[in-house]
Amino acid sequence: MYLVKLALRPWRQAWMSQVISVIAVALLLFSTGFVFWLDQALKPVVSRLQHEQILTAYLSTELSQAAEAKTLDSIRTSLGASADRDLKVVNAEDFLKKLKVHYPELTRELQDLGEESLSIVPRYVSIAGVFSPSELGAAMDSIKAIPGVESVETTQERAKHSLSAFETVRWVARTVAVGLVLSLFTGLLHLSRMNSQLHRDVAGLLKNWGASAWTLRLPGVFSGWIVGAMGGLSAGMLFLLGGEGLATQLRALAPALAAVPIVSPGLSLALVVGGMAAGVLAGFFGEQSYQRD
Amino acid sequence: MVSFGLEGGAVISLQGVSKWYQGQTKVLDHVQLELKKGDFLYVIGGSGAGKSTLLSLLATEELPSSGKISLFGYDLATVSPSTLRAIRQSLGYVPQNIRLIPDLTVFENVAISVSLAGSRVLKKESRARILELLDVLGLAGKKDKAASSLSGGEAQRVAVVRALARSPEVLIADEPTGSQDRDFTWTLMDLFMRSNVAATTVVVATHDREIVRRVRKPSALLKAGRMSVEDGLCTL
Repeated sequence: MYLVKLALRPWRQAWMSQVISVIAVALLLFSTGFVFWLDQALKPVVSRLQHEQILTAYLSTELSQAAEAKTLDSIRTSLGASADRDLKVVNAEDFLKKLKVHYPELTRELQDLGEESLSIVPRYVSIAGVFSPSELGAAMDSIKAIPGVESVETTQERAKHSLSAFETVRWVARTVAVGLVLSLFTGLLHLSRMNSQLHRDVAGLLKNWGASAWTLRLPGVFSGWIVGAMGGLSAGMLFLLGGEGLATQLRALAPALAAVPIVSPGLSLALVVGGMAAGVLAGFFGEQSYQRD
Repeated sequence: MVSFGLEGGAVISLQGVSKWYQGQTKVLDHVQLELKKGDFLYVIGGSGAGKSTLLSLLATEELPSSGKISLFGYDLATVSPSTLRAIRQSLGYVPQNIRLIPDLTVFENVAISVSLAGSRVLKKESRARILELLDVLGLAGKKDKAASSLSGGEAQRVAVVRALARSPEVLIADEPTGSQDRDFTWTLMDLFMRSNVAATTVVVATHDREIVRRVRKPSALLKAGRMSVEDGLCTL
């Protein structure tokens, strides 16, 4: 109890340093929490990009209505057990409607072409679903071989660029997280060394009264714990209050990021516990040589 | 509290102890001393004679530059850290520069020292002893005051309580009456005598010849770092 009281000495003698340290710890923990969350948040996005593909089979423009139905049946059959995948047929009329919606400036030209436009626009079958890399290859080969199918495309190539970008962001986030944790610990260690100087007279007395090396470290450990806990609590509160906003902002950046989850309250708790642990460790290792026997 | 059980053996032994600091002449010069359990010794001498250095060595605050100091039969230069801690737990030391912890109250200053000498949780009897000692030394009303608010004389008396409340096997007091009026001087000496009667080895450094004359006990004179016997017992 008395040692806890001694741990508050830095708050009396060097309160400004303690306050600045708490703010620094809070910001570092918040930043660490953010990059950690970013890494975790991109995980489902990357997974979705890796496995969810859209396979597009372009049908021949000369295909008759009867032949088209037969081709579609063959495509369904070729998908076999995976036939539950979302299969959508886009005929020439649907395609033109979409074209007019996305490119209204083409409306006039399409009207000028009249019925002729129907013979030049593609008809295609879009199959969206989860494909493993081997499944995707096999599906492409079998669909390509079906009469009436002109060509087959997938979103795999397009996804590759996004995947690579997201993977890079995740690696950068992890590296930054490690750097931030090291900065946090170094900052707390320096603070503990400074606080240890403030405890110097007390340490000398305790040592002469027969205190163990562990007991001598206790005021420093408590001091570190206080700063770490206060910084952790502040960072945790920031996340609790602003976590949802962060997720919303990120989701708005790109459609692929729609799968970003909201910030879990567990992360706030982890920041508090992490702050305390860093403070205790820094207080323990910040002990000075004069405190030893 | 660790009892070293040295019945009849030397509790304190100094063999050829010298102490000098960098760039200075010898503060202590080849001091020989042996005290048994229950002995009482005055260390007398003028200012700068080396009294405080000698007591600081006995209190294990520093090591001698040459020679050997043994407490409870253990050579302080080679003792293990755990034994050194046990030795320190058996000492009661009143330093000349009082060194109270300003963050704590008077009672807490004493209690923390007592708790380090025994069980971590302050026992009822220890608490009662602290309060009794504070009362005897006129500090009962100040027990909850911050140590930083005390006068020099009051702080010195708290330092004495802090040492005595540990029920030490060896009590080392450096000018414990330096800032006291006559009444408290004799009260302090009475407490030291009572502790000595209870078999505590007591070493008191003083320059007050009246104390030495009225409370008759063996004394050793320190002059320019050299020790000589004034009144028996000290083994040269």
